[in-house]
Amino acid sequence: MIMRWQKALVRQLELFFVSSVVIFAVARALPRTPMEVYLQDRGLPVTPESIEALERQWGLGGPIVVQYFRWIGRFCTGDWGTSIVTGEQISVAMAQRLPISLAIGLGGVALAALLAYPLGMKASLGSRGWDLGARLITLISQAVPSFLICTLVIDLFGVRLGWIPFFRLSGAALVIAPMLIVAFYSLGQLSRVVTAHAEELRTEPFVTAAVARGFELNDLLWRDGRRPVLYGLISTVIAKMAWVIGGTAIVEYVFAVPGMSYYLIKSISSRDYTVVQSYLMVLVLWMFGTRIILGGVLSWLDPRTR
Amino acid sequence: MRIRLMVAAGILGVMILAFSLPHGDPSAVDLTAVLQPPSQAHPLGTDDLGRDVWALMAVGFWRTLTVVVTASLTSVLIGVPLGLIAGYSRGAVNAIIMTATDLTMIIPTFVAALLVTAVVGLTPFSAGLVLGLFGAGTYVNQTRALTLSIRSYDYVRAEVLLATPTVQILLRHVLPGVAGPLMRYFGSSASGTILAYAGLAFIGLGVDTTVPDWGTMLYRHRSQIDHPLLLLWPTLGIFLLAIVFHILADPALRKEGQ
Repeated sequence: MIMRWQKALVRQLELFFVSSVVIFAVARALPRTPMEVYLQDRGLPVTPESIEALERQWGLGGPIVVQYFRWIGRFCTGDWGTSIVTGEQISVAMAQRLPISLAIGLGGVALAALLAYPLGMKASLGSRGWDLGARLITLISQAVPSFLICTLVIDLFGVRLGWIPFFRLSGAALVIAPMLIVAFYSLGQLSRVVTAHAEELRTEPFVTAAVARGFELNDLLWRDGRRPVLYGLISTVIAKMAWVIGGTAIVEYVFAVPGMSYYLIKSISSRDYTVVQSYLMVLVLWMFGTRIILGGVLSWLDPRTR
Repeated sequence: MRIRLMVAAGILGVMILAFSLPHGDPSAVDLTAVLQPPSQAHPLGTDDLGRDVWALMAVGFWRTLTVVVTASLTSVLIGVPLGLIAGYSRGAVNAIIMTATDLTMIIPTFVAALLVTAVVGLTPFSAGLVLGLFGAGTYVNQTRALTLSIRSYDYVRAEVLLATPTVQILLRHVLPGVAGPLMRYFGSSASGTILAYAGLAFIGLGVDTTVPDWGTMLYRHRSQIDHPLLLLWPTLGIFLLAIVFHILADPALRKEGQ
């Protein structure tokens, strides 16, 4: 158990190191350097002297390896530099936006997982209506663009009925509608996973034996089938974790929620590379954390993997 | 099951045929005939610049189809061979391939596509290539897992003992076992690609606004909800094309037919 855990940790640390090198290298290989972007944005002349001054100010001078270690060292101590365009501290800007994105993405997926368990079980055990309903939700989430649903929701509740002033919300109210839409879009897939695992359980020898002895199939799958079904559900949720921060970009964009991905889209369009670089590093850190925590949850659910 | 497959193939066939018919110039602006309802001259009406919606839809269809084909080919041609090699060879080669795969899995496909298409411009080819490249990770993982289980079967071991060349074992004995389960994933990844491309065009970083795309059309007309038809046509196009791939791949449907 401890060995496995250590191995997983070392593997994730390796990945963290390699991906930080790749992100650093790609940012450096771009045709326009941050110094040129900064100077051109402000209409200043791009001279070797001004570039050198900025290089010294930002710590971008010297050999590339030294630059990398200076950058990663500062990153690990929380100094992520300032935005080229707005001049604000990136770590502060990210810290403001991360909770909003997490509420939308993580909240949406968690809500979907909570609903997917009963829905998926009902689709397998209940009447045909549940199954058709679950399929319809899956179909919509695979074939109708989410930004269209967002637009229709804003039009219906914000414009026609006038119930919710969408673009003037603040605080927790800001994230509710986007979170519900993200939950709807994850519900279909997750409930199908639950159904597939429940269907598989039906054919297990211990289930058929218990049914032969007179136990109710319904009770068996809800009670004794909980662990294996939850195991399947959680492994799918882990695969969705990579998607939690970046995958909700369109929903954030349509609702104009000041989250991470909206910040990313704005920064890409203003060529603010330092922000983009930090955004990617946040993604890497996020994956690093979730994989380790959820890996622990999985091994707790299935003692055989220890 | 057979009927559903035929319906899916039928929808795709009709779309390809219909959008191959000659249509007007999608960039011809006619400000004397804006927001027209469907008529003989404009089968789907005109948009707010008086452009023929049918022509816009046709151009959008071919662009979307190009993205799906490019992305699928890229994912399969890169993901399947790498997965076969990683699953069969283990050792250092396996470690390198899996590290590269894990790296692409950390960045969500959509974010990668946003970044790259913002720099190089959003064309069906560039979008398809990035979406395919970052979507290949799942193909590598699945192919590798299937290869690992297949290589322990007796019929593969026998071939190894007979000193059959590795390439021949992989192509003739392992690949057929991998292809079936991968088909199921293929459909949902293809419909995901359609939605992702529509999303990229909707957000519009690096987009050429003079070239029609289904996502661009939805962005343009999102505020003209008084003319719901303008929103309906691109949505219907995306829905039908995505549903074709969904039907082809839904495992539940396959089980019913068996």
